[in-house]
Amino acid sequence: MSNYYLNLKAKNENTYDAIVIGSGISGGWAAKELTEKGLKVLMLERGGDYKHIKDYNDGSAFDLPHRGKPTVKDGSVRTDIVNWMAREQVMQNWVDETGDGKYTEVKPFKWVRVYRLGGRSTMWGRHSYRWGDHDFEANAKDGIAVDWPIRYKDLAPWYDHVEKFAGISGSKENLSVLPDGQFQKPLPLNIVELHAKKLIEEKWNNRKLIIGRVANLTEPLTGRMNCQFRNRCWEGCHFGAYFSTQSSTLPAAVATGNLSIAVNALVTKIIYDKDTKKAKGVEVLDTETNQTQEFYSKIVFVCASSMNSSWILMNSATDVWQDGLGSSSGELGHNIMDHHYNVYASGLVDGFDEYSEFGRRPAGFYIPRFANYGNDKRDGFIRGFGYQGGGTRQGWERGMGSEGIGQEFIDSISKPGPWRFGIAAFGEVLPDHQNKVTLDKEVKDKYGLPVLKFDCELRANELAMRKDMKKEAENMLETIGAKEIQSNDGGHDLGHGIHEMGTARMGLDAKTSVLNKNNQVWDALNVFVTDGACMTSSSCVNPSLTYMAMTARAVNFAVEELKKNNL
Amino acid sequence: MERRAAIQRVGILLGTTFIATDLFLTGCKSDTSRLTDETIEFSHSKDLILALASTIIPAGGKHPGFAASNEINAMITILNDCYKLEDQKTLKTGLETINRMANEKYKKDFIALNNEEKHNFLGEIDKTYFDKNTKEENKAYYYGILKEATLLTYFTNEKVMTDLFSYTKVPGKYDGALKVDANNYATNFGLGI
Repeated sequence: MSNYYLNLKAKNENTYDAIVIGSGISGGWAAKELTEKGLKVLMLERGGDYKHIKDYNDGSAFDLPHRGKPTVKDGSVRTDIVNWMAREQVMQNWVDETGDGKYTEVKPFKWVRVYRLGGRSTMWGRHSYRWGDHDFEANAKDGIAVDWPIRYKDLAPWYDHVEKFAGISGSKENLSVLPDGQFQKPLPLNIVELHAKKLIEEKWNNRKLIIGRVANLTEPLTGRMNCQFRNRCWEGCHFGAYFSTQSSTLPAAVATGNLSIAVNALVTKIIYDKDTKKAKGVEVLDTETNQTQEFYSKIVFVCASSMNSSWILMNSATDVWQDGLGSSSGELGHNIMDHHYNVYASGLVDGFDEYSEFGRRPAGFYIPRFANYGNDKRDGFIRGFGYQGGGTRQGWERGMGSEGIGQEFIDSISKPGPWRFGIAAFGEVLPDHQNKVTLDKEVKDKYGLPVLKFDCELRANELAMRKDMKKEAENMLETIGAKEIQSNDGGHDLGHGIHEMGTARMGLDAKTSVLNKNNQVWDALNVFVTDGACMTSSSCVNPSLTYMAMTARAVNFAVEELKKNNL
Repeated sequence: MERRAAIQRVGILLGTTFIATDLFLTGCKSDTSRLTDETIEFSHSKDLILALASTIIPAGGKHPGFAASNEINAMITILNDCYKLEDQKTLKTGLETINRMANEKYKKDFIALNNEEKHNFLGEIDKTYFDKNTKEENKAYYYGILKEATLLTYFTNEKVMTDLFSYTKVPGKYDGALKVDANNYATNFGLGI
């Protein structure tokens, strides 16, 4: 457990004001906000170090021995999750789920993780959307699960706060379904996407095609340059042009002088004090030496990523509650959600042969939810879905899927190919008590710790929604005049959206929820869970921006409470 | 497993178009088999693979051709390291099939054919492979692997990317309506390259 940055101001190396478990999007934000408010913070990361710029493994295709193709040797990642996440340059970033990341499945679950400093903030898709009032009101209106204990107005100022610092580019659209934010100037749509926008918006007055709102800078921020259009974000950006812990929150936290970081530090449990009914600190396994050590703090922020945050809770205070800290409601580990996808349509668009693209834009467009919104009513399912997509002029790669060899063929595939336009749907998953994760008492990981056992699947609402996701994708492709339309529903195992959330939901009542409206564990008020575990419903928009805002809000509350000696 | 769908599948996520190049891997929606360390070594078939790749991409026009690109070792590395054992076995058998078929037709190994014979012979295999009427069980999947690896290796060659396609590592800007001449070579690169 090597100390990453030595905190010279800390007098007792094992005692801090706050401990943050995890260093991804939520953990990075917790560390930044807490240290900037003057707290001495220890950040614990179970994986190894990953230094900004120095450790990035980028290069042009010709620099790579396998030209970007993932290798069998890299890949202990299962073939069914090797897909668009698979590139030679990044394969070592994903967790080896046969080794360090073992888990078991009653029903298939795709758990795609990064165990390294920065977590998935280095590997995320960067789409950043606000939730709207309809999302926070959804459970109450539909009478399912439990009501969110907060509304849009509670989070709106914190969205403002995190957007300005993280740097979100996007266009103001004045849509209630997708509230505007503090945007940098938008990335441009290309000529075919503008064409599609026009036709889709003409045909349907409740549909919009807008450029993705993404955490890619179009204007420089302190220590960070604007996007250089390489589209190699995942390999690490030397320009710091996309938001990650490394490029954004970590430098800010380090600059305060209040942050200590330990890597290879796996939190095995939160130490719960029965007398005070609060956490005293955490127990940490040094994965290099296999020794455990305790660290103490006034507050603990659990930001280990949705499923692992609940894993930590399940392993904690088991002498008081058999199923762990936060289990008194019976909801810990339940209500796993994700966004279900693998439904897409694409086709060729004629008429733009004199145009192509220059530069490699790191994001495409977004079509916000329209189904079951406003006057749109659907049969067979509640909630809705959005689409991400892009238009691209094809290159030589089309030759892999087409007939021909020899000089004439090679010359023809070297010329600009047709424009291909495609969209992929992301649908909301309902919270369902039956979709759960528990500790597998039979199977242990390489440290001898119990692994998680997943038992969850898409249910009737999602399966009905998928039919409309596909049908509407086809409708829109037809509307823009696309040819040779291909559409597919490839099925979806939960987790594959890499938006896994739930398992420690927020709520108004300790009897039916794990966390209160300030992300405090009802059973230990100085423990805060602010990553995806806290979600009470899933919306259909990408969730990371909401985790950022939720974390900043909870930190503000925690520090105020500390000042009042309430924690 | 829909193999044909797999090879032509185009995914669009995060705004980047990519084509699923793993013929056997990505077509299976519930393939939970694991990649293994066991692999087949293809350097023993280097001369034959070079002859096949050079037939797919001969020198001519603006193109130096596969042989002059000096990428045969990179292609062998990709065949050795990037395909599941099941696919490698298919390829190994396929290479034997090519020589058997060449001998049946020309009484010679593929490598001993003249350029025209090579083009015609491999062109037939290519045509059959992409023919919609060819039944799945009769498909020469080894050919799909060969063609994929040939194009990937050649078109990601540094000279090809920079000289023929004016690749720039750091574009610095994005233009979504760049005027181009349809007869000039493309300005963009697939596969997220």
